Parts: sequence; C-alpha cells; structure tokens
Amino acid sequence: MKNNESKDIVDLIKLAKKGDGEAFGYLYNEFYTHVYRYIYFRVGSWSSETAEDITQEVFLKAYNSFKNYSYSGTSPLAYFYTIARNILIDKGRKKKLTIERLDLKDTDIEEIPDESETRLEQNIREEKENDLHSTIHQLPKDQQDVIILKFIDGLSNTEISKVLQKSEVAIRQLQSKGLKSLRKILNKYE
Amino acid sequence: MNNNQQKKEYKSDEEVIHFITENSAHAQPKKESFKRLLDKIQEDTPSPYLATRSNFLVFQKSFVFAFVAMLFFSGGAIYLQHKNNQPLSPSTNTLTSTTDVSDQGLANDVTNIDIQMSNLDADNQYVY
Repeated sequence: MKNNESKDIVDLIKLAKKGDGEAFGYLYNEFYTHVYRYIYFRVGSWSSETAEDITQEVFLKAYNSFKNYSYSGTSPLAYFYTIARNILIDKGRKKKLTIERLDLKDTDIEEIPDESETRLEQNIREEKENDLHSTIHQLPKDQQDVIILKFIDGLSNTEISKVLQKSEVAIRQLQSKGLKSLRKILNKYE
Repeated sequence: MNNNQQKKEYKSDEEVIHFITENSAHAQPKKESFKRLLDKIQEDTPSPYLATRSNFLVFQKSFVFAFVAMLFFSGGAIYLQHKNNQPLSPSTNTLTSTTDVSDQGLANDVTNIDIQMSNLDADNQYVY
C-alpha cells in the first residue's frame, strides 16, 4: 500500500471480509492497475474505456462477494483475476467486444498524466502498444491469459495455475507455445 | 508495426519477452476513486428495508390471490350443488333407492297388464 504501508495485507483482508469499505479501498488501490492491464490486453486494442468499465465491475463483484474469499497465504490478486476472467468469458459469450477507443470526458476521473512525454513520444508509445495488442490477439485465449498474466502482470506460475485452474506444467507449456507463436507473428512483419 | 520493429528480428524468447514488457509498461488506467465506486455499490444494492418490504408485498399478493381463488372455487362448488339439488359426493344411497322404486314400478305395471289381459274374451276383445 503506497499510502498505508504499515497496514498488513492480512488485516486488510480480514477487515474487507467483514465489509469494511476503507480496507477494501486499499486492496482496490493496490490491485486495480494489475487487473486493468490484464483486462486491457484481453479485450482488444484501443478499448481502454471498456477495460476500465470491466475492471470496475470486477471490483464491485469482488466487494459484494469478498466475505466468501478465503485467504490462503497468497495475494488476493488471483481472486480478482478469476472474477475478471469469468466476466470476460461471460461477456465473450454474449457478444464480441467492440474494438474502438473513446475519449473520456468524465471530470471525476483521476488521470495519471505523464508530463515528460511529448506528443510524438506518446504517438510512438501508443503505436507500439497497439502492435502488442494485435500480436497477443492472434494467440489462442489460454495462451493469451498466460502471456498477459506472466509477462505483463508479473504473476508466478503457481499464481497463474490457481487463476486458470490448470497445472503448473500446463502453464509452462502454454507459456512456451505462446512465446514461440508470438516470435513467429512478430517476425512475419519483417 | 512501426519501422523500428519491422527491421528487428526476434531470435529468442527473451527478445519477445522484452518486447512485451517494454510495450505494456505504459498501459495505465484512468482510475475512478474508490469513494465513487462505493457510491455505485450503494446505488446498486437495495436497502434491507426495501428488500424486506418487497418480500412482504410479494407474500401479500400471493396470499390475496390464493384467498380469492379459494373463494371462487368454493362458491362454484356450492352453486353447482344447489343447482343440481343433490350432493356432489357419490357416497349417498340416492341411486340405489331410485333403482328400487323403478323396479317396484315395473312390477306394478306387469301386474296391471295381467289384470287387463284377464278381461279379454275369446276373440281378444276387451270385456268391460
């Protein structure tokens, strides 16, 4: 916790399980970006607003069902990812998510601007991000999950195996296949 | 793919991993404050009073419906009973006694025929 490092995560989880909004707020601040990035790279390129909406949905669901969460010594991130994954699967069944970027106009939203970045640098960064999106999206869904959770969100294989409910061996295989496929896709643009 | 990446060849997994981590590092959400999220939660969650009241109204409607249905069927049954002037239940002896009466009537008729036949003459003409 950036603003409250003294608070132990176990205590926060206990309080959040009892419905303490402030305690859950710390978990929200800690894990929001991780969950957002997973969703952002899973829903398709140029869909930051959709990813933000889904991330909020994840935390609303998590808050309402957090009393059922059982702490097993690992980060609750796996719990949030599991909810996120279920929501994405559910939404994928209902309709294919549209890939378009909309400018946010909500004044109540906290922006995290990078003031050191010029307009040109921003364009290059967005273009690279878009490249990453398009390459990841050419992979099968289970490989996408592993690549995003492992290399974008930095989860361990043990944590990924819990989220995806697969063995660690299966996770390693998916990771290997995913990287191999990504290399082929990237080199195809040569 | 931009021009810089088009020139690059990815020979190992490490280079691919570097491509992923480098290009995903800036993906930052425009985060809504948790306070606003909590407000949303409260908007989405109905108050316990409203939930109890809603349950009560559902129960009340069901009860009234069941009561009206009971009155309707009871009234219908009573009406039919009065209209037919006989109990709806087949447990009485009404049918049996009716049969007995008919049999007696038939017997009387047969007796009457005998009497009438005794009044016929040899040409089968009725003698008064």
